[in-house]
Amino acid sequence: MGSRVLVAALLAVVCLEVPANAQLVDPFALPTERIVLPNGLKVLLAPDPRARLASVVVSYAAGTADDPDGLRGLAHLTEHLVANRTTHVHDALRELVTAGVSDMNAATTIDRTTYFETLPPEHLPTALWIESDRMGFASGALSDARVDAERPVVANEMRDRTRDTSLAAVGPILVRELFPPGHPYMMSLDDGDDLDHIDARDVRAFLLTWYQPSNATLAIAGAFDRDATLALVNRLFAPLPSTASPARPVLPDEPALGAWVRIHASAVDDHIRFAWRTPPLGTRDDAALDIVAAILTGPGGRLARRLTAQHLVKSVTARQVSMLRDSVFVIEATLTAGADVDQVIRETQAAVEQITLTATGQETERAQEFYRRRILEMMEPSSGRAQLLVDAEMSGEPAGAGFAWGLRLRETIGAAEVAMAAATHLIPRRRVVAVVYADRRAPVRGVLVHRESVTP
Amino acid sequence: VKSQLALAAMGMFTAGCATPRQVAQLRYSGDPPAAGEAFRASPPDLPPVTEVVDPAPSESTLPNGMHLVLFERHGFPSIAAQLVIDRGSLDVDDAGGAQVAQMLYLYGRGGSAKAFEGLEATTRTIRYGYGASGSAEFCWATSFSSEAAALVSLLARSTFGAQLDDTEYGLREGEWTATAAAHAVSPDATERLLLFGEHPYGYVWPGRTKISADDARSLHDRLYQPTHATLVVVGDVTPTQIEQTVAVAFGAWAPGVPVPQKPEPPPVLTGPGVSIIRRVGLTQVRGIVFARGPVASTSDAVPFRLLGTLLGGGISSRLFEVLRQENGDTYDPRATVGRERTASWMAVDASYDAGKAIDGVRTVLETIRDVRAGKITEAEVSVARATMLANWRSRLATAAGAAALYADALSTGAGLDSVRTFSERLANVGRDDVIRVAARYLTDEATRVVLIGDDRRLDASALGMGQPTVLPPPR
Repeated sequence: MGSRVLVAALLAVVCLEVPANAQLVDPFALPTERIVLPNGLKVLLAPDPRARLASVVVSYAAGTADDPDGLRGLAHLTEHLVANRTTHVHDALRELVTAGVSDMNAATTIDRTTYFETLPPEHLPTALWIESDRMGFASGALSDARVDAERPVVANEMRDRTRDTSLAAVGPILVRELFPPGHPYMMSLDDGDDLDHIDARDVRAFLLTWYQPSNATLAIAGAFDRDATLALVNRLFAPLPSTASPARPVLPDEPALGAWVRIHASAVDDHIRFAWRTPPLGTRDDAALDIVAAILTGPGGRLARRLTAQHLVKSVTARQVSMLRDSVFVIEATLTAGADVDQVIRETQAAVEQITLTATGQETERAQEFYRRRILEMMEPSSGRAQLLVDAEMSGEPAGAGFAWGLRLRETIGAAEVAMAAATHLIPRRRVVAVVYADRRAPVRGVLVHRESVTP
Repeated sequence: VKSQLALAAMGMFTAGCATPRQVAQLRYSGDPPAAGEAFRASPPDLPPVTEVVDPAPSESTLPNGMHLVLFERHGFPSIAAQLVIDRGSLDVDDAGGAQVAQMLYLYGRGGSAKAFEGLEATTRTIRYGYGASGSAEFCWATSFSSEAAALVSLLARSTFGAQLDDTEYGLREGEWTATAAAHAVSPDATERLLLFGEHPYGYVWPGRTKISADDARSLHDRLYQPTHATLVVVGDVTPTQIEQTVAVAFGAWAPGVPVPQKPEPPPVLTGPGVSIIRRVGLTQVRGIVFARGPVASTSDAVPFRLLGTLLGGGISSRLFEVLRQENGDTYDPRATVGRERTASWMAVDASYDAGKAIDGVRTVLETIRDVRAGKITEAEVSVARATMLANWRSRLATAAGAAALYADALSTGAGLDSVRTFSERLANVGRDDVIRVAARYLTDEATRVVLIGDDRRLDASALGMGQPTVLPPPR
């Protein structure tokens, strides 16, 4: 290992100056390709000879929402265990560092587990070698001893990212109000306590159930040779056997009932959060609600202007949090010292009600422009392009539609449809409102002190 | 009583969620996959990497003395620019008051409601921000290259073109106290205070005295001068395009009396060995070990950064292996090197389970002693070198990342060429250099520790660095 590292490092000083010839590039017209291997693995390719690096993203359609009760944290613990050691790869992180990896990590979200890395194009095969072993041969390296060793690391991360963070309790409290009992998105701050009950058998079962080629998407973007890379993908991934992942239970279609909650937290400022349950990722209304969010609090947004002009908030953000089974539309405001909480609530309610009546064409175009800039920013690094391809696949993009699909979809949504989406989904009686009062005696994460239902 | 009621309420709602979640059943039966084909057993070859660097930039100077640097890139239709003012708190003796930070805060929205409206209209297509270190101010923007003229205009309007009006001052000055209070209790602010004390570097955000509108205007005029300014542009534009645009946007910027750059380093570190910031109610303890390092423009700078990477520069670093992989004490131990024009420092930071914090910090201190004593391998140095090189490549891969690297090189005095020649200079740093800088800068006397958490659960005297000083709780 040591000599390989040294040779790579010594040879790395060969430098090439990129010629600066002007040439018009339309990033949204960059070629993309979608191939499905016989085992069901979806392969997305976006080669670009002008890029400097190459990126790989592998995403499995399984996340924390698939953790069984009593085993919360299983998806996350599995991600940690698979990341570094599989049957043939004994120290994946070191192999990747040796190959010059950057932007490398893994992430477990509600619906997905994703592994990603960026490398010099010469070393792309290392990433594919490791990802194919993660997909096909992770179980062989599992043991209870490894689970025992990784458990405190995951627990530490969960505490650091949730329990100890400011206002951490607000999310779980809102989720309990937004989703019906039994919904897989239900969570609590105590979820990390289940880690002690998870053993290697559970991790193996999670792998067997969800880490299947047919439940995965592989995206490669940036500087790579299309034919040579596809041949390598076929060699490494096509032989992996695949079993269909199980169907998830169908959820009852129960709308959220509105509620008000009051929370006290040791924070600097008072804080207000509005939330609505909204349609899932990939639906047309999900895209329309992205535009609603931009009209409210994007640059020059009507709610942001209204609140800042009156000096009521330090910041206010609206966003559509898109997820596979249900999404959530959230408006968060951090109040200026001395601002009247009730006034902020009234102003926010009024702005939301207005948008259900009318959104102007100019506002809609402005929001689309803002969205275009965000996509373009994501597209510059190869890692962003690979991620965009996976996101589009997950949201049901038509095969081979390319990078522009999400943008084009939003460009077909007019002002009337934006107002209709707001009117349909941002209904006052289904709204959950959390008011967080800064209270130095309360825990940093916050504590619920009052709740009342909204009477329809 | 109130907290008991709250707990009762919380319990009530938790009990209300007892319905089992509807998730798919896991498959506990099935054959685990056997070992695969022989080619899977060994890693692919690692052929040499050809580094991609920017060609030499086009440089020019406006008649008013403002400098323009353009790195042309035509692989992607983006543009990123950083306006660097290479004078800061250090040069105007802004110790304790943090007046530069307040001035920036007051001017951040363009100085008036009307200016803010104009800036907002532009930010649909342009991402924009500003900030300061102790030795420079930065204003940056990124967008499509077709927006180059609007982007340069935005930078001009929000810097030299900004005029602070009394209404804006009235709106913003009241916010400062709360903003400063929030920053004052942050780990970064505490670290800086302990590293630099009353020196201007000790107060990048928090401040003690409120600046008047007239003083803010005067300070803005002193710092924001064309002869202090360099505009670094990276992206899909040509020299002719950008020079004309910059001349239009910045041509009217009148030069004033230049403020000389102060070359002096901050005084030697004093103060307690261990400080605890009391934060009751946290389940974990954040432990930061820090020490001062070499100036960025000296030959020790790259070895010192390599040392930081070897210790805690992400995966496969020494502390990642020991604290996370072997001990399971923490999830993400990190060593970072901060830089000002006349100083640098290293901070080794991790969040520990409360019961493991003292042992974790002791492990960091022992690891530093081991490195000083030469207990590192060539392979570790090579891994650290590969990590640094990868980060350098990654940042250079986007116009915004490259512009930030060039701006940092300018503000710290390292020079633009330090970015282009980085890979060669890094290749020349060896194991002996790393041990030498560890012995020179990370001595026991020069090292300090900050713990953030519940001091009643921490026996910090066990670190052998004297009795800890407990700093008051936030606010």
